Parts: sequence; C-alpha cells; structure tokens
Amino acid sequence: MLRTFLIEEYRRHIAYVKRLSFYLFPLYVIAFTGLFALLFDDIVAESGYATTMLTLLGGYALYGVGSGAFGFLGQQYMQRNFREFYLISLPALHPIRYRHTFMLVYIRDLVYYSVLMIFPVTAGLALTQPVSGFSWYSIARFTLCSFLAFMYGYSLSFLMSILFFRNRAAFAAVGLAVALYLAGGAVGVLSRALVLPFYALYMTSDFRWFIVSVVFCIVTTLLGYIATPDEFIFRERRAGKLLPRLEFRAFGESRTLVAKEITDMVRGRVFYKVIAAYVVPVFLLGVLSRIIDIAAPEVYGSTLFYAVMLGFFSVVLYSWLTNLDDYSYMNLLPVRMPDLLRIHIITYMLVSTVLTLPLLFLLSAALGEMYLFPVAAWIFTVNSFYLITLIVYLTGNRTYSMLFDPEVIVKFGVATILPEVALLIITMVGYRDPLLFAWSIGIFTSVLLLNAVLYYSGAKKRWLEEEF
Amino acid sequence: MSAIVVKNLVKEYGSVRALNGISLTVEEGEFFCLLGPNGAGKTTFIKVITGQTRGRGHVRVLGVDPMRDPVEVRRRTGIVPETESVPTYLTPWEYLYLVCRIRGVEDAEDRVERYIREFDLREYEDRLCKELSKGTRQRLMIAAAFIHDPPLVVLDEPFINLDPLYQRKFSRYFLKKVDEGTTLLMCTHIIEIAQKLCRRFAVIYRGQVRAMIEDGEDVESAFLRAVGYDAEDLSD
Repeated sequence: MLRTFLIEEYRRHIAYVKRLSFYLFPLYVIAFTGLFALLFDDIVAESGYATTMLTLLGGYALYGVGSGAFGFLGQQYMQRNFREFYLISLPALHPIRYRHTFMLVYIRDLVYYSVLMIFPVTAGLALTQPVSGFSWYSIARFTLCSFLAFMYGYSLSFLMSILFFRNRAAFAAVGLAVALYLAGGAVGVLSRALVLPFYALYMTSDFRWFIVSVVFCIVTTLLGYIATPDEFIFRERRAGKLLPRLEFRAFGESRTLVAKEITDMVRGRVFYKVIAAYVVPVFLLGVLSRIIDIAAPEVYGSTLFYAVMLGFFSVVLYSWLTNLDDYSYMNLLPVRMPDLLRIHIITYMLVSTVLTLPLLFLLSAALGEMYLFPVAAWIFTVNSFYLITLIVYLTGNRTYSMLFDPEVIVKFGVATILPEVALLIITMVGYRDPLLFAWSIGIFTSVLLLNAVLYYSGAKKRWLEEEF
Repeated sequence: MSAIVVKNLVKEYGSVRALNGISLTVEEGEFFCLLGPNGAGKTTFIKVITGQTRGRGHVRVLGVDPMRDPVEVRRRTGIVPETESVPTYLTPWEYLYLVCRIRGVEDAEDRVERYIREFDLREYEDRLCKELSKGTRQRLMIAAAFIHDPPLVVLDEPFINLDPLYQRKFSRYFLKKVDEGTTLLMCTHIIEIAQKLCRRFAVIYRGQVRAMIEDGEDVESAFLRAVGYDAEDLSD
C-alpha cells in the first residue's frame, strides 16, 4: 500500500515538473549545502555558533510545520471539484479507514522530504568534509537533530491540521496551549531546551533531549492519527448571492472576476489560513528572535524589519489563490490565462494589504515606532508587489510547482535573496542615518517597482497560450 | 454560409497524433453530429475549434481563426464540455451571473433568473456548485452555454449524466434552438439520440473522418462500418 502511495506521489511530482528537474533537486540541495559548509566558518564568525545552529534547526522545524499540514490538503482533495482521484480518498469507495490513508500520506511525505531534502544535506556535508573539516560525529549529530527538528514541526502541524477540521474548539485549545508553550520558552518561563529539544540535543549531546524529541513526535503523531475522523461529512452549505455584492466599481472591467476570487476566499475559508500564515510565522519569528539572545534589537524588533518579512510571508496567499478553485471552466469563457493572472494580482494586493497593514500598524504601535508606519506600509506594498509579479512570471497559475521544480526555486531564490537582503540592510540603516535611508529606500523601491512591471509584462507573454 | 470550416486539421500530443488531417464543414443553422468511439478524437477536435488548444491546419469558426483569436471564438460560441466543469465555491445562480458578466450580457440578473427557472435550477440556486449532483451540474453547464444566445453552441456529450426525462427535455430544447437559427455541433457516442436530432453526421475514428452520413441513411450500420465492425459482429 505504501509503495502505491509513493508511486502516486512520484507521478504527481513528475506531472508538475520535468523528470530531470525532479532528479536534479537533491543534487541542487547537495551543491547548496556544500557551498554553505565551505562558508560555515565565516557565517559563524558573523552570527555566532549558537545563533547559526538555532537558525538552521529552527528553519527545519518551520519547514516541517509547512510540510505537515496536509490535513488541509487531504480535506481539499476530497471536497474540491478536482478532476483527479487521489489515493487519500480511497476510504470513500473501499473498506479502508481515513486514518490509515492519512497515515500512509504522512509516511509517504516523510520519505519524500527525507530523500529530497534532509539526506541530501547530509550528503553535501559529507562530500565537503575533507575541505570543511567537520567531524563525522558532528555531521551525524546534525543529521539526527535536523531530522528531529523537521519531525517536531511536521508532527505538530499534522496534529493541528487534523484538529482544525475535526473539532474547532479542540484546535483552538491545543493551538493556544502550543502558543503558550512556545511563548513560555521565548520569555524564559519554561526551559528553552524543553521548547526546542532538538536544539538542546545538538548543543549538549545530552541523550535526554533525544528522548524528549522522540516522545514529542510520537505523541503528536499518535494524537493526529487517533483524531483523524472515520468519515468526512461535508455539510451542504446554503449560500446567498454574495458575488454581485462584492463587485466594486473601482476595479473596472475586472470587478466581477475579482469578486469571484474574494467569494472563493470567503467560502473556501482561506482567511483562517491566511491569518495562520501571517500570525504563526510572525509569532515564531518573535519566539526565535527572543530565544536568540544576541539578536540585535534594532533588526529583529523593528517595524521596518517586519514590513519586509510580512511582504515575504504574504506571498503564501498567492499560492492559495491559485490552488483554491479548479479553473478549467474558464476554458469555456472568453478569457485567457493573463486575464486570470491579472485578477490574482489585484486580489492578492487587495487582500494582503487589507490584512497586513493593520497587523503592521499594531506591530509599530507595540514597538513604539508609529512614526515608521507609513514607510513600513510603503516597503510592504512595494516588496509584496515585486514578489508577486516575480512569482506570477515564474509559475503562472501553477504556483505549487514552485515547491517541486528546482529550476523555479533557484530562479526565485536568485531574484529574491539579493533584493530582500538589500532591503533588510537598508531598513537597518534607517535607524542610523535618516537622510541616507530616505534616498536609498526611494531608489531601491523604484527599482523594485520597475522590475515588477517588467515581470508582469513578461508574464503576460509567457502564459498567453497556457490552458486553464 | 458555413459556421465551421475545417481543412486538414492535425493535433499532436507528443508522439501521439490525436487528429490526423480532419476536414469537415458545418453549415449555419444545422444540427451536426460528430460520432465516434471513445478516444476517437472528438473532444480534441472540439478543444481545437473552440480555441482551448492549438492544432495545425485551416480552421474557421463563424469566420474567425480560433488559433489566432481564441477569445473571439469563445465570445461567440457556447460550449458544453465533456466533464461537468464548474467553479467550486459559487452557487449556480452566481456562476450563471459570472458567465453573463464576462460575456457582457445586459440585464444579467434578469437573464439568470430566467435560465434558473427554465433549467429547473431554482431549488439548487443557493447551493454550492461542488455539492450538486452530476446531472444538476450538467444542466447548469448547458444553461451556461446558451445563456448569452450564441449563434453557435458546441455540445460534447451533452446527455451524459442526464436522466431520461431531462434527455427528452433537452432534446426538445436543442431542436427549438436550431429552429431559431442556432448552429449546434454535438459530439456523442449515443447513436439513438443523435439519430433523432441530427441530419448530418461525421464519424471520427483514430483522428480521421471515416464517413459522412446524410439524413436517411442507417446511421448505426454506417457508423459500425466506418470503425471497422459489421452489425452482425455485434449481434448476440
């Protein structure tokens, strides 16, 4: 059974990306890791050993959080008007329980993430060992701890996503408990090692943290398994005439399709996910930055820093926008792919601005930096517009392919890392030299806007012939 | 004047040639039927002539080349696809409204109300499309194809998922639209229904037109011959 699930996943990957790209992905990871290993001493000299390791292992945990929420996806596969049939829905037709198919997907994805990401990192470290000088013991220790960190986020995310559609009250209660637990570690009420046992294991090599990590993953996985319902009953929903009420004249000819996208978001309950996509990363970022004692407060705590980071996180929203509906019916209408992409961009900018600016306002108030709010709002808007046009150019309406296609990831990485790092550096300058800051942010955001326009024009040509 | 003119149309998916030099003409105001077994190329043919995918060859639909201006072709035609493809989170009322707005239909709300009534969708008008039965979705797709009064409607297996009552009802509806001057091109493999509705037929098999059947001929026998069977081969 697991073999069939693995084959299904493999074929889905191949359907998203070219076969060669799929096989090249671990090689990219190996190469990137090798490069990182060679620069490790410089990075440690700049950031400190503890910070570097926490950032790395924390990154694995966050990656696990993002990967394990397939409870949502599983629900969508069964509920949405997909054209394909997925093995996860087997219990609808055959004598097998959902908790079994969900657990098979859990194991299947774990195998894929391990093979495509975690073990290639080990291979990259091992291959560069003669040059980097890492001990084999530290490579093995890092592999184990990174796997545990990934599992920590992955199993927790699995449990939370299952609870989300099983019982909202349980989801809220467990979510609050987890948030308090993490916050307790951030402010020092709880042992930080207890909050991040995989990190404690790496730093201390104390076997007890291995036990804590493993017990945590087993318990959350088992709870998720037990909580998986035996049947999915989708209550028929009555819905009013929402679409015409959401047609805003300000959007001109696009108003009906923008209204349709917002209707989808309301009824697809994307707003919950969007809030989770903002609040959770901002919260985790806060936890990490509090735990990293040496974090420079003018960077991690600043409104401008959050403006850049929120722009980056909000890109997740676009991914959901493209995955919310099966757009094949648009092949029957007098519209083409660039029309839909334009609608996605408008909707994205509208929704992300409406959701993010209040959050940014609250953050600037909490940090006592209200005077920076207008600049932060401008930085957020330009940055998210730049990022979204880049994603539209690279992925069109198939943004999920970004998760699988190494070519796209590399291009996206190149086109984002440099501008984002530059933007972060400029926001740091803002505290030291306001005049220089004003000039540099003005010029830099203008360049980003110009690039955004170019990406958008390119996207219109690139995706013109694409079927929905 | 001809509504559809196709000459030597070829469509390839990688190494597979789905359409292999198809030529045919559909006159304005006629109810033309494309017959063919599963996988014959009927749906691919429809996708090419409605600009959903590109092919090679000469194609004119209402005087427009769908490979050069697919949006204009889709603006002037209505399409009922083979699979009932509806938006996930809209209600039937909202979907028809969306179609009207995209197609620039004036008095969209009144038009939607009329089609909701005519297509017996009133009791489903506030349910989400994804929750509708297949038959109801199919009725919705047919309503969406006709709602802007197009001069040409392309029907890909329109009777699939419909119960016998609605098969009869829509048969009458299609004939009424033809009487009013609408051109209908229908793909099906249900010969019995096609025979009652259409006057001319083309049999597609392995991406080629294997036979043209005129009114008065025995459609079933001609079809079977065209795809390499004899009626006696299939008798008990």
